[in-house]
Amino acid sequence: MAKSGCRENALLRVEGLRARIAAGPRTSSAPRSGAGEGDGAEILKGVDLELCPGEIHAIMGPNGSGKSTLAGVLAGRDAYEVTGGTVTYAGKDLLGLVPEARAAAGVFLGFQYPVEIPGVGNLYFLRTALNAIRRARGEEDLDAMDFLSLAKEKMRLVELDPAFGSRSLNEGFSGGEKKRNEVFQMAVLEPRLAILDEIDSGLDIDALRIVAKGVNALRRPDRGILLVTHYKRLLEYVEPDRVHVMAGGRIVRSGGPELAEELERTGYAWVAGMPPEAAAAAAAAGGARR
Amino acid sequence: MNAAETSLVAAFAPPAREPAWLGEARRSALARFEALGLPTARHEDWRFTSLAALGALPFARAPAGDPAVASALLARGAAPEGPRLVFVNGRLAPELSTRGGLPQGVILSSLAEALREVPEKVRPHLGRLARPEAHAFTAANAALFEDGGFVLLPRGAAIDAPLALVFVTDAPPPAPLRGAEEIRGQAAAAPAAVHPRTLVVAEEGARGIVEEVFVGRGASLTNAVTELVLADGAKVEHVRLQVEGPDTFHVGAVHAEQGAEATLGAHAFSLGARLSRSELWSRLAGEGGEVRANGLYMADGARISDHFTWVEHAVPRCTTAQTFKGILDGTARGVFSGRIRVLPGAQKTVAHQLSSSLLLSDDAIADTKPQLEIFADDVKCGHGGTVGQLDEASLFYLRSRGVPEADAKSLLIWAFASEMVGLVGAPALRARAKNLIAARLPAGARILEAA
Amino acid sequence: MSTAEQLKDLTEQKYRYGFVTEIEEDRIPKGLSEEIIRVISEKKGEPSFMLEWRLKAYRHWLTMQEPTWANVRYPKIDYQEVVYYSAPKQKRALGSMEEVDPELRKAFGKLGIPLEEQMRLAGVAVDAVFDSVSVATTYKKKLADLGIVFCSFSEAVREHPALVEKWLGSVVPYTDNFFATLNSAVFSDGSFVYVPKGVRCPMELSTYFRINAKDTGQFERTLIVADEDAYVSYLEGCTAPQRDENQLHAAVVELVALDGAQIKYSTVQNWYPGDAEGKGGIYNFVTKRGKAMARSKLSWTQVETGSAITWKYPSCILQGDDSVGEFYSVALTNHRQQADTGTKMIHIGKNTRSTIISKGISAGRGQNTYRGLVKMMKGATGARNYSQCDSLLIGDRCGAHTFPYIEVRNPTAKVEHEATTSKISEDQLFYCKQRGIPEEDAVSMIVNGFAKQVLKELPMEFAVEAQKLLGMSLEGSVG
Repeated sequence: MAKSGCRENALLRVEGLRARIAAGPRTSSAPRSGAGEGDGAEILKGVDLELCPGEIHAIMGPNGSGKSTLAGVLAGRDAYEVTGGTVTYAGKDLLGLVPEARAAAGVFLGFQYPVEIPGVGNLYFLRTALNAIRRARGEEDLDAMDFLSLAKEKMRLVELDPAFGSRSLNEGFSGGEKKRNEVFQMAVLEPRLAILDEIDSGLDIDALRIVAKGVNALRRPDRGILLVTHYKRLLEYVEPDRVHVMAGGRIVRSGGPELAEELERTGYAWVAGMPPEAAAAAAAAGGARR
Repeated sequence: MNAAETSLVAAFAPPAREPAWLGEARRSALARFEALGLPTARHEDWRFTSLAALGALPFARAPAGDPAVASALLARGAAPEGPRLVFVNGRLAPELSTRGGLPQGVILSSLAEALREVPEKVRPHLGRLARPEAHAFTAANAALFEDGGFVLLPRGAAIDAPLALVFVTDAPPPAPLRGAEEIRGQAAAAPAAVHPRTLVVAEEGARGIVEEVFVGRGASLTNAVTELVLADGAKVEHVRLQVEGPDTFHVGAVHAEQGAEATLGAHAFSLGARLSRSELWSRLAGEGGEVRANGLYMADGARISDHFTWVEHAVPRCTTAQTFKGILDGTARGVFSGRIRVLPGAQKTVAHQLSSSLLLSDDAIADTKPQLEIFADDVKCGHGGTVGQLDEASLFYLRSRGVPEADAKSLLIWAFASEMVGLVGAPALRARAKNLIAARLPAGARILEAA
Repeated sequence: MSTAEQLKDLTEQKYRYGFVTEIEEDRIPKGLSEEIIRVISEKKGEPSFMLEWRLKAYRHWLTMQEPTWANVRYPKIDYQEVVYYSAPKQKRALGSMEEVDPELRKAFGKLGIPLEEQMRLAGVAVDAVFDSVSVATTYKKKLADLGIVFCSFSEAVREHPALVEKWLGSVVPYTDNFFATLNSAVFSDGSFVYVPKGVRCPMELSTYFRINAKDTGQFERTLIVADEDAYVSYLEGCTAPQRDENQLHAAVVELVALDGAQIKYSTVQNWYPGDAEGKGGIYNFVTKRGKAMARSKLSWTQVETGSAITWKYPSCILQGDDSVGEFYSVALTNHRQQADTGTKMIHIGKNTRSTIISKGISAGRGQNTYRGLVKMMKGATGARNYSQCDSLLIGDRCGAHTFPYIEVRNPTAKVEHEATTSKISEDQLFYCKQRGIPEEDAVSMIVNGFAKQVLKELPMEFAVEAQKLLGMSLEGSVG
């Protein structure tokens, strides 16, 4: 597999990562989506990935390929159980950390389905989160006034109405508002690694443009971004350094931005269930037929 | 003991040719009835419905009914054509019944026949769900029933035609207003008591529709008990249509138990009787079971219509959906009390309950008591309820379009009620229920034509 | 850590107000008899009408049975084992806070209620009830200038006997129910408020109740009368030290809102809930009821986090046309606490309106029951009620129960009722944790969000305390 050559300084290195749905009753909705298999079935079957600081990688793949599972596992969702492999983040083991510790270490997950919490104000929530992270890093709390001016500035980035701040977290938000809110939170929390899980799903073209603008504005030399997406559409606005194709719980192909173009033409059908070599061959053949 | 209790106990006369176990069960049920006595308003489950009027009446064992009267009552449209057993005053009337045409293995018979012919199918279930211990009426029924229906849907059977059990009461007219002493002196005029008993057994994966219809005239007590046993994967729709005469006390309890993935649609239409009490006791005992319990009651004059449900989720992943509606006029009283219990460990329960009542007069009364009792955390439960009168704005809208007030009212009541009919699966049943409801509306006939 | 483990973890939380103050007490022997009642009345120097009333209540109580309908379980109470009167010993009447026993002031300090501080900063007049007798009444002068009477019940009996005699028992008669009747016979002290016609009380009136002495039943009696077009907001906060024996608390609160008046009554109840195994804790059997005359408004807000058993139904009798009743409640049960609480809205007058918002939170092995009655009487033409009862379950060993009763006798009345039951979802928790918020904080935040509709009805200074209390009461239970 082609690697982008920052071995010593990789922000994120995933090696042979395997995971399945944790046993026991769960109430979380997310693990079931796309998995299509019962509890205990392995969803990630050996994922390898390397992300260098400053890069944006896109992970594409058909439904059920394990994209969202990968995002969840990286953020520490306990609905999944890691059964093998390692994840190194900024030189340290990531898998041993609880979710909030990962957040404090700079890992941010933009949710495909942002969660609603009635009665908890949007800004109140974000300030609680920011100060929890700051405390975990041994920093002082940000006082209410400073936070407010920071929030106002970042809200402009994703064109959120300031009235948004006092509404209950994600409650009654439209799909586009929820996604913009995710990018807004990311802008305030300033992560080192942002994993954006289908941040483009359910967006109309205007919202997509705003979200993409927000993501681009957060591009920085020391920050890595992992875009999980089903469609190439987002990549027209946010240009990735690398594109990976996931299928059957593995990354079956990696390449430059042109790979997204190719996928758009050929669809995902050819990758489902095929080993990487065969899939690549099939893709080449498929491409040739056109 | 009051007059009713004394007379019911006195009526105890177990049939001679019956299995010994049944006779034993009857005797212990009678003892239980004597110990319990009829419930009073102090009993939480009866706080809104007074049985004082019933308690003052001495009931006699129902005489043999007049077949001609029974035919006439049946001709009024409540009873179905198609496979049916008709019981007059608690005893099978073969000449009014239609059997045959049933698929192999499906049994539609009287309980007495079933006890003779397939006792092994009856004994494991009879009295298992409807236990006399806690309920006086159930105890009385267990002690005193003469006959009733037995339906067996064997494993995998699927039958589309509703199987009907029709209970006709032909009782003497009510005594004119006289003192209780005088009534007691005239045995011939004593109101009749009937205790129909039904057992429905649906084996694994069986599918069918069972209908129980209650019609009658004269002063009487109908004390019906039905047990529904749904094995894993069974799918049963049970419709109870009560259109008894205005001098009848009707108490009917349905006890159901469902296995895994079994589905029960239980519909109660209570349109008649001076006092109507309809109970549904349902236990979801296998994972993935579903019960849809619906009820519509209409009462006018000084009538009382009381619906009581108790659904118990004993295992995970079961669903309850309840909708009850009441339409109350005159000085009528409508009662709905519904309890949903989610027992420890019954995770992933989904249970919703809705009750609405419409008050059409200044003196009508609605009492509602929806109850959730929840001992598991991963559940989605809720209930909602409204009580009010016909929507003023809708009424005005219709009138402004030229619909006369009486018709407009009928139309709105119809709209409110017909939703409940729509929940019934069997088309033939829907049509019959619609007619019966429309017949109770001032402009019902016109609405039916238009609909 | 799994949800279950965290749940277990959090159940180890200690009661923070558990301390006992060593103060010399004036106690009478335990037990109940006419003799004891005479002693109580005499100690308080009451006029004869008061003693007569107590005795009538006592004689009636002897004919009554303890109610069993509530969804709570507790061992039988021996009413002869209870001490019915206990007061800090005082040599003379106190003129100011400075004269109050330093031990006692320290106790208030530990409670987080710096009395002087509050008086200065918040402008709250505090009538502190320590066990059964009022020891410090503040801001009396300022209120007196407006004609407002705010004093201990005993003082009101002495100084304003006509007012007391007129209104005492007018909403909760001495025959009302087992616990209220017991209270009528033996009540030791409490608060009295009278706001004259057209007067708007300029500050929140507040009383802290605390049960201190061992085996002392607390039987306070509160009576608030708002005369025509008057307004008053009253806050009641309750804590009790940690004791092993269950302590009986049977209070009565009566509110009278005359034409056009408004009374807002807020409670934060944090009595000792017993330990994680259900040992000890307060039995809180309270009767609270208000009567609303024409165009008046009664508003009950309660945050109930304490007590081993809570049995209370703050109610509104909406007697006057166009009167309004409100009930906002958060009840939290953790460990082995049991709460059976709710309200009664009795609509008698025309166009009366009521709102019920109840938020029940169950954790640990707590059992939480909402029980409420909405009754539309025959004359309640055009009356409206809206009720919403939501339950939140935390953990799979607790229970949440909803028992509303709706009785309608008037066709033009409109009653709407909604109830939901839910849990904190794994999705919500993961979302918070992913943003860096530790689990306990996340749960506390979500619970506060759930309760927000009610908390926002509390006066500001109470709301903050209530929020902290919710978080604290949950500690040891959450996942």
